[in-house]
Amino acid sequence: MIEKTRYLSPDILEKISRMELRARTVVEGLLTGLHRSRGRGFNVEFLEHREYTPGDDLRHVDWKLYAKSDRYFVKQHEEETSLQARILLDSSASMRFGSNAAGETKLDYASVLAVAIAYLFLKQGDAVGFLSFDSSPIVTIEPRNAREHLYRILAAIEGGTGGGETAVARSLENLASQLKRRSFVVLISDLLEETAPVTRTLMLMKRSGHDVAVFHVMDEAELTFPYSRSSRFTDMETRRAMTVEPAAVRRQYIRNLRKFIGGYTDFCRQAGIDFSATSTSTPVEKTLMEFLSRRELRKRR
Amino acid sequence: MLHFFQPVFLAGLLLTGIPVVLHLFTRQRYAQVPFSSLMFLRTARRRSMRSVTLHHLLALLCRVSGVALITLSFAMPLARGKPWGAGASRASTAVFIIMDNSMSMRWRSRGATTYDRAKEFAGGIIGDAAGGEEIFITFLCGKNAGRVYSTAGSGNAAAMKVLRGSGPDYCDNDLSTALKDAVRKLSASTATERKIVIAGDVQKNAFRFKPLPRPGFPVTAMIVDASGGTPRENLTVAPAPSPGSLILGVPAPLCFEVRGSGGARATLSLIVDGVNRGERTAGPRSGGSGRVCFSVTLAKPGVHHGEARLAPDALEADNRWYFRLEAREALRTLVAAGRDAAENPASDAYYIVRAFRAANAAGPGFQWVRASLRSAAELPYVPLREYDAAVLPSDAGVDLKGLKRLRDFVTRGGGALVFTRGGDPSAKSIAETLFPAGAGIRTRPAAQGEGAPGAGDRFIRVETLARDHPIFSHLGEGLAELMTARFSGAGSVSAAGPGARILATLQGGEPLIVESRLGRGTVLLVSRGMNPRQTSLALQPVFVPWLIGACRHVGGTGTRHGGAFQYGADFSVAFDKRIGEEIELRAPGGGVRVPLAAVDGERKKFTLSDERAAVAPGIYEIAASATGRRLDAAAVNHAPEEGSLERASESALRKKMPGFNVVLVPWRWGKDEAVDVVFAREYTPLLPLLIFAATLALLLDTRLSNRR
Repeated sequence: MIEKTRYLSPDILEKISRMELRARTVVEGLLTGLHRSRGRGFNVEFLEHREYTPGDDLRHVDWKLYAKSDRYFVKQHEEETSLQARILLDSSASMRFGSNAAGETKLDYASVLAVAIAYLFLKQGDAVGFLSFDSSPIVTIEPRNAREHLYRILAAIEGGTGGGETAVARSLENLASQLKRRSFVVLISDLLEETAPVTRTLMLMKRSGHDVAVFHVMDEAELTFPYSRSSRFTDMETRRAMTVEPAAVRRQYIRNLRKFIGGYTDFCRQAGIDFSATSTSTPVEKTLMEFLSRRELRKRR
Repeated sequence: MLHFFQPVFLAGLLLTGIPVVLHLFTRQRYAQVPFSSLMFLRTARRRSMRSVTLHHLLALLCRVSGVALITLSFAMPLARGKPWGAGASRASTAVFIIMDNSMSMRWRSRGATTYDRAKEFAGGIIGDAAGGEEIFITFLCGKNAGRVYSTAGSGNAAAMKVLRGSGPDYCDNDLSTALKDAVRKLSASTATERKIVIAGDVQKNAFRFKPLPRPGFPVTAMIVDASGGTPRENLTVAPAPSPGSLILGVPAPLCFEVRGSGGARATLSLIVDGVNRGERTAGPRSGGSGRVCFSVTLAKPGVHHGEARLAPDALEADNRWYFRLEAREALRTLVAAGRDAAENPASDAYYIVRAFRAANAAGPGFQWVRASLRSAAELPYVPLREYDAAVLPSDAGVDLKGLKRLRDFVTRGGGALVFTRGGDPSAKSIAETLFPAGAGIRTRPAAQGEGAPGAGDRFIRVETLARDHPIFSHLGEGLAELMTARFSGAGSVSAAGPGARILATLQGGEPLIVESRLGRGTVLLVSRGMNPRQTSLALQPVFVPWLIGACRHVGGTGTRHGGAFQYGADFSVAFDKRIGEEIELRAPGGGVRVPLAAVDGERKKFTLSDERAAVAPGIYEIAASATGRRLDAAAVNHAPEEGSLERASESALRKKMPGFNVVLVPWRWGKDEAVDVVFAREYTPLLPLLIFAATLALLLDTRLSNRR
């Protein structure tokens, strides 16, 4: 739980304000550009008719129209807005890596992304829950749809400690065991751990009926490995060190990394999971925009 | 085969260890980089390790080979034959070998002489010569000096035979003439490779000639240093001044000087008339000389011969010094006084003659003196060479002509003991004639009434004495007696300059006895007369040994008893013009007869120069050529430069031989290597290649470093 003092700390408040402002700017800008941002469903306002096909629920058949046209049509409605979303933010030590001049880390980037997504959900009236984790859960905020709920999430992000090893699979497993209804799970992480347990857990969640989206956040230096001098690289999570001739390993490193990302991309595509690989050099709004567009496209199909 | 002209630079190959040491022991400084995860690096690193190691090894190889190649380029490698696969073949090579068979080539080290090694080398060239190659060979000394033997004319075997029969000999090794001969022969040759090989010991003496004219065609002069370059161990013996004349039955010192650069020790043996008279160990300090003296007693009158022999030593040429000794039955002394003076108690001669008689009364020995009285007027006509010393009493009254005669006598090695007195009118002439200008003898003019009977002269005593000087050192307790002697207050000498040595002074600092060298002889000047009016010394017992010691000193400090000379230096032969024949130098065995001169004087000066090859060091007779009558004997010794071995510098060699490709072949090379060099097509073909390769290696290293 978040302590009250920390929650009210002026520094945190200032950071929260900045982050909220940035998230709002991102989302408002997005909404302006996306006219049909809402998903389609059956539980809200009427949207259009569709010809009946065997297997459709008879409750959705428009009998009045049948009476007029002697044909079966099914009513389609806008999607239900009382969606429950869970945002999982990886706060492990590897997320504290940053190479750009402004000193922005992957965690900074991921935090803004998380808040923006939360803001987006709340704006639509959906309930948003938040989970920050490293090797174990750090902060857990239950889903709510109140506007003020955003501030709790903001405070949790800013006040979060973390810094341990990454344990995405375990965190997902814990969350899966707690979810009682189908939810929209958003995972924001660098995924720097063994792939198989993570994919297995993601698959499990997907089969449990949850909608899952994964944001894979990487730093530009991780993607390009721009080092030149012989250096001693220290793993930020395990503290293990390794002496490396960057020029000699660069090609193989990038090949390994691409294979890693490619593996997740293929897996997510097959599993029906939204997978967004992004880097800290990409603007958050662009990352979010691409995510939403992709999602819209998928729904249209 | 690969050889190096400057193998000393091969030591620089040790520098190749520097990159290796740096590679092994320099800890690379790594930048510390915190990174999100090493999971992608682990496998990449494993795969790249091999290429990194390969890069490191390649860079190391480049550096090591760069250093090695630069070092090798300084060592000047060369390859035999046709390194580039093109060009002239061996058959078009002409080699002119100049054998330096001077005596310095007898320098022995490691069981062989320098000439042995030079012969082996030259033999290798001749033996390795194939058909069509021209080999010429000539010698600097000996009977074959100046003759050129060619393999084209007489075949390899004949040339080898001449070479085998040669040996070191005394000569003026005129290398410039041999080189000119070589250039002349080679210029007529059609061979494309023309080489001159000087097989010698590269001594400075051999290269003392004016720079040669440029040859006008490409020619390589290979100077083979067969000596090992270490003649510093050489010792040489030379005569040293020996005090005292040789008188029959009286032991006298005979001294020699052993010179050398130190370190070596040898035994100096004295052989007189074929009998070993003793041995002394000689070992000069570094860069200095050591004086070795023998005590010689001769039993027979006349001329004796001998040699001082130094052994063992690397170079025998300068290890012997031949000398000639003339033993006198007594110290022959001329007293310039008439018989009247000798019987006049007021005269110096009275006391001097009686002192000699007293000395001779003891029989042959140190004191034995044969004194002859000759008046001052006879002095210009007396054959002074029969005497060892001349004594001039203060009242002798010798005129200028007599003084000049006496000066000649002293200059040639005789001695003079001159007494003067205060007021002596001839004192000034004596000082000016018998003393060199540098002696700075200043005479004192007589004061009025000084020296006259009853003038009331005051007497003074001796104040200082050079007690170690030979005229005093033998006196022992007599010195105290000498110090009590009284001398007239009026003397003839007021001061002496730095060229003279004051042996005794009187109270007030006035010089009493002054010594000076004049030519090869010695003059002792006493500023008082030896009569009771001048001194009480003449009446004291110490006067006898002092006078004998003084005569012996002046009569024996010259080198006249040595009778030896060095080759190339002037020497004089005294003979009677009545002989009426030419005189010649004869070897004892009669094998060598060198005409010296026709008869035209009493004493003739000669210089042996052109006869060097015939007149080796030794004892020679000087004889009348027609009758064979023996006139004298001469001891001929090695030339001064033969005892001073000094290597010529490489730069000096190049200056003497402009236009030649001068190559100094190190002595360390064996025969096969050196012969390879002679038939090598090029001498420095690999140098530019090596420099290029070194540059390439370093550039590659830079490139590899940049890639990383």
